[in-house]
Order: sequence, then structure tokens, then C-alpha cells
Amino acid sequence: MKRCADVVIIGGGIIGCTAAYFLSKYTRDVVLLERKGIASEASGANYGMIWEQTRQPGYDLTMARRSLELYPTLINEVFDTDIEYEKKGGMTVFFTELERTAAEIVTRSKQSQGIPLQLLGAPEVRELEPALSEEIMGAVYCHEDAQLNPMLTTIAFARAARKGGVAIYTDTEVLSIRTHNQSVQSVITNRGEIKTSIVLNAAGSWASQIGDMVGLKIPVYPHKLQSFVTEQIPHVLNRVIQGTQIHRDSSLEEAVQGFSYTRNVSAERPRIGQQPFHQGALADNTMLYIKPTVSDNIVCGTTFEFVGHDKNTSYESLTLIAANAKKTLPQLKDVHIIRSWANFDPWTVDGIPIVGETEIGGFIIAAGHGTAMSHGPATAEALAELIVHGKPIPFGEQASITRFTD
Amino acid sequence: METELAIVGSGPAGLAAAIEAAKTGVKVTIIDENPRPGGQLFKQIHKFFGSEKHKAGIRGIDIGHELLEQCEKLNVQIFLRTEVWAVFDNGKALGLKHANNTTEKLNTRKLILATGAIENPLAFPGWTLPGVLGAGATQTLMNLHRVLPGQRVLMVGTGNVGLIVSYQLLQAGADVVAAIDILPQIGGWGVHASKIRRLGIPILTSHTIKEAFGNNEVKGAVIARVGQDNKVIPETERTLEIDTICIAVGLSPMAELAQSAGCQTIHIAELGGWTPMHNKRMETTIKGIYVAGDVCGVEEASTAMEEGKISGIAAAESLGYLQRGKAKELMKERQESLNALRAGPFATQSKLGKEKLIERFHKC
Repeated sequence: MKRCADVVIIGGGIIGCTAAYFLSKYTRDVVLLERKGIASEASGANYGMIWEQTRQPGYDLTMARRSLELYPTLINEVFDTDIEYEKKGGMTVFFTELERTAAEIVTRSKQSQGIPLQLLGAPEVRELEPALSEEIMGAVYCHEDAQLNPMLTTIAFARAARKGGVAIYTDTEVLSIRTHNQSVQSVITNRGEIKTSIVLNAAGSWASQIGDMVGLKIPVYPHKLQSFVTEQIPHVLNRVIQGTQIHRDSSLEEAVQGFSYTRNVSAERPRIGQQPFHQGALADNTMLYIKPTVSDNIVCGTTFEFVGHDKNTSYESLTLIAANAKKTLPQLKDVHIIRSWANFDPWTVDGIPIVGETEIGGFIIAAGHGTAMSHGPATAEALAELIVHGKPIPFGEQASITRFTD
Repeated sequence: METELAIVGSGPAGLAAAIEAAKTGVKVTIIDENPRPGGQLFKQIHKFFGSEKHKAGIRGIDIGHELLEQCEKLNVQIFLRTEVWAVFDNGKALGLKHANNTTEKLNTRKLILATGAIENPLAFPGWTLPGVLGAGATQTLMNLHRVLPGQRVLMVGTGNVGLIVSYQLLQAGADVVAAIDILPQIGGWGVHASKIRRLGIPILTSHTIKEAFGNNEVKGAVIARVGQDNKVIPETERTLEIDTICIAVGLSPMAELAQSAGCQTIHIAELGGWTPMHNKRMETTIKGIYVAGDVCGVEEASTAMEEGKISGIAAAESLGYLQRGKAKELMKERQESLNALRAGPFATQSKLGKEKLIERFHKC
């Protein structure tokens, strides 16, 4: 194993691997450390949605848009394997009048932010997706939205990084980080010590444990999602379908929030140590995702839970997900589930990741992404510019850790 | 729904485990996706080999009836046409899908996975044509459903399954044109091989299938001799006019449920591939989850029953239905019986495989 490096990246998920690739354009002296294997946590277990429609203006939308620009070039010029990228548009379907009213408000507001949303009625929904339930009243649709295979994508970035000279060490756990005068000195792993002046914490849901190693509180919490995948079925679905998190007894204000995907955060500034709120019954914390893979296995999710790093799946979650999926795509009724799993979306209180420099010299964070597949390439590009040229991250103040303390 | 011991699979291992545990008073629930219990026993119309205490001389079908009768007497609950779609909480709960398409959670204190094995496929040009089928599937069609899959058959593979099914095809009125094997020697027991040879079936060793042809179904196959490198020797090809190709190239443990439950697996070629690790009590790397039978190494029905009994005794003991001393004594008997079964010259491989498996369990 290398004994020193310009940059040591911690985490072999999409953020770590994209950062490794973009940094490899400037320096051959990058090391990536991964406790398990490439894409073995959330980056290998999510729905691979590269969506614009769900983004908030500012940092979030800027990163998502830039990534949507970058992916086609990466596919044509960099990757040596197929990542199953398809730009087929994304659809959020709804069943009730309340949801429709909220959808109208959200569509108008997002259109004014320049996001090309369309409000579809039931006939238009069925024209695009004939197999969806006749109970669906309509959908919010964005033709810019794309999907990909998250595991293949992360691996493709890792391969490109390796080709660019990055040393990737899997099965390598970071045990501690040595600092001197509030600056990074070296990273100590179970396979030895690597001297470096820059550490990139891309440890996703484990980012706060890495932060503890330098005495920095990083408010990223593991948000547990459960999913299953069905057997192969005949082609019935063209694109990813998402549901809403709106309950029948929600107020219109709550419904709009449930649609525009902004966190229910109090008007106060989020604080370090602010714990994820207790969410109540599992049934109230479900959100539908149905993703057709290229092989026409259907991936379905999810429920949301804060239970630490407990990765078990549960009967209650999986049956809730199945019921939701069946209600939306009735043809799933007689289809077998072949596998189920849980993963952790790194969660922050305002839904924006934590990216950028910190009070510890050379300790950079890029974690807390609930939408890492969508932010990855753009975040990595910006981080490389920051590390190599000292260029500030666009809308960086919105993603900075200082938002929790200043 | 609640039970004390859930057993997935009602083949010889699962049924033997159920009887052993239920005898001590354990409440046992068996789940099987098939419409009838018994696993592969009811298609085994041939007599078993070995010593008398291992049911030698008795046909699989009769053993099946005997086991089911005992289960009934002991009030073992059996859910048929019921699928297990997930294992939760380290084996303490199962997701079931019943025959009527409803789902249910089965809470259990202990779990035995006796899911058996699946036939290996063999890929060659034409392998997806109707008429190419597994030898085990052929046996099920003939002996359970009374359907003869074809008239002129090529058997690929001369292990015991290939030899026995060739004989049963003859008995059922089909013509077995040849039994071939890529290895230079016959894989199965001499007694089975000489029986089908006497009846005129040529056994061609060092032979492979090059392709199957036909538009909508198998019309014929090309076979050829192979050299020591297992490659086809040019100009040794022969075309056979046949309508059925039976593939008998071994079995692999069906370890998916064990894997998804989180049991650690290990690849052991002698046992058929990826296999959950277990100790002498048949307990996996997850406490309270046991395995028995082909799922933890492809062997015989007789060994599967012994392993089933051991797992049943172990589960009963850990549930408090058996005193430690008594359990130890019972398990010792079963272990000796297993050792005797694996002492034969044909069981050397599986004995080696099992030793490796148990050794690895204790290392991890």
C-alpha cells in the first residue's frame, strides 16, 4: 500500500469514486480507501434516479443539472462499460384531489424556477405508461429526468479513476486520522498509515464517524430505505415512477411540501445535534418508487426509518411497499419477489448535502447526499476545482457545514 | 402466526427433522412450495442401496409415505403451495405467500432450511429448444405425472441420476439412444451402469454434445469424442436422430434463502458449489438457523435424512425439549450413522467436502 498521497478519499461509493476520477485528471497521487467493496452500500442499492424535478433551487438544482450535462459525455468518452443510462423522463403519480391541487401549485412554482415540469392528466399518463392503474388521476412529469444503474455507474467511475492512476484499496478500514495544529497529517488504516495533507470524507452514512476522528460533528444520519426486486416480467413499464408522501388528511400546505420535496424543517436554522425527528407509524413513512431495470425486473421501494445502521429488512415494510406498488402497477399482483434489501440514504436535516472545507485544515467533506447519483459527477468536478485550483464551489454556502454553526 | 420450529422444505431432510423435533414435543411447521410433500422421494421408484438401517432395499416412494404418516401422527403442520419469500430477524420470522395469494408472517423460534438442490443446466447451441430437459425433471414427469417426455432420448451425464433415469425411461417405454459423459469414466455406480448396458444402452465416455437442432423442438443432436483436454476431436462427430435430450450434469445446493438470511456460505466443489457453512449440529453461522440435506451439500436421500434428524435434535435441545445429555447421545447415534453412509467408496468426495465445510465453520 502507498505510504503517502496528495489526496486520500474515504469511501468507495458514487461520491468517492467520482471524486477519484475527476482528481485523477490533475494528479496521479490519489488514494481511495473503502471499508468493504466499491458500491457496497447505498451506491449499489438505490434507484439510480437522475432527476431534476425534485431538486430545490440553488446548490441542489445546480449540481443536478450539471451532472445531467456531464453523464452523456462520460458515457461517450470515459466509461468502458454500459451504465444503463436512459433519459426517459420522470413521473410522480397521484391519486387524490388534494394531491392534484398541490401538484398544480408545485408545477407552477417549479416552472418559474426554470424546471420544465408538466402536469399530466389521466389520459396523458396512460399514453406514456399504459400499464399504470386506472385509479391514477394524473402525474407531474419532467422530460429532463434520467435513470441509470447505480452500481454499474459507481464501478465505471472506479475503473476510470484506476485507469487515471488512482490507487483504490478495498477491504481497507480507516481507523483514525492524525492531525497536527488543526491540520490533517495522515490516515491510519488497518493496513498501515498514509501521509497526506488532504482527506476527503465521502463516507456517506458513516460520514459522522469519520468526522469524530478529527473531532468534528457532522450531522449526517442514516435514513433506512427498504426495497425489493421482482423476477423478470414482460416489458410493461418504460420509466421510473414515483409516488408522493401526501396523506389523505394532510393540509394543503403539507401536501405542497410533500410534493416539492422540501424538508419539514422549522424556520430556525438547523443546528448540530438536531436529531432526526421521530416519524411515527411506518405506514405514514412510505414513498413509492417503481423502477423498471433494462432486463425488466422491477425494483420497488420504500419505507423510511431512523434506526441507526440496522440493515435488516422487515415483513411490515416489504408488504407495505408491495401493496403500494400493486396499487400503482396492478400487473405486479402475481409477480414473484426475488430479493430484498435495505440501504441507508445519508440524511441531513434540510435535505442538502454537506460539501466543502472545514475548520480542520485539509479535511474536506462531501457527504449527506440523499441524491448522490444525481449530484455525483458535478460535485466531484467542483471538488477537484476546489482542491486543485482553490476555486469556490457554486452556491457553496448552502452546502457548507458552517450553515449548522454560524 | 406463531410456531416453535419452522422448516422450509418437505423433502427427506425436512420431514426427518420435523419428526425428530416433534417427537420431543416441539411445535413444528413445514412450508413447501410444491403441491405435495416429499420432495424428490415420490419420484424415486427404485430401491435404495446401503445397509438395512439406512432403509436399503426400500423405494423412495415408500420412505416418503412412511415419513408423512409419522408427521401426521405427530401433528406436524404442513403448508403446501406456500412460498417463503424472505427470512427476517435472523431467522425468527418468515414472509409466506400462501396458495390463495395472501401473505402472512410466520414467527418462529428456530428455523431449519432444507431447501434441497437444483439441477445444473448445460449450455450448447440449441439448449433452449423444447425437448431439452433436466434428468430430474424427466423423472418427475414420468414417475409423478405419468407423462413420457419423448420417444428417443439422449442422456447427457452418467452419474447415478443419469443412469437411473435412463433405466426408468426404458421401463416407461422410451428408447435411450445413448448415455454420454465428457469424462473418461462412468460417473455413477457400476451396478446401475451394467444394468442399462445389459439392456443395450450404449454408454459413451469421453463424449460431449456439440449441438441440438430442430425448428420448434429437438429433432436431433450432434455428439462427438473429446480428447484429454475435453475439446472435441475433429471428424468424430455423429448425428443422432432423437426428440429428447436429458441433462444429468449434477446438482447445486439451493442456498438462496440461507444466503439472504445472512448465513455465510463457502464454495466447495465436492458438495456442488456454494454451500452454507454449518457445524456438527447443522447450525449455520446464524444461531438458531440450521440446514440439512442437499442445501448444504449434494448427497443422497439417506444422508439427507440423517442430517435432518441431527438438525431436529439440535433444535429440540436448544428449545429446551431435550436434556443436553440425551441430545448428545441421540446426536452421536445419528453421527455414527452418517459416518457409515459416507464410508463407502462413492461417498469419499462428499465426506471430504463436509470435513472442509465444518473445518471452515470453526475458523470463521
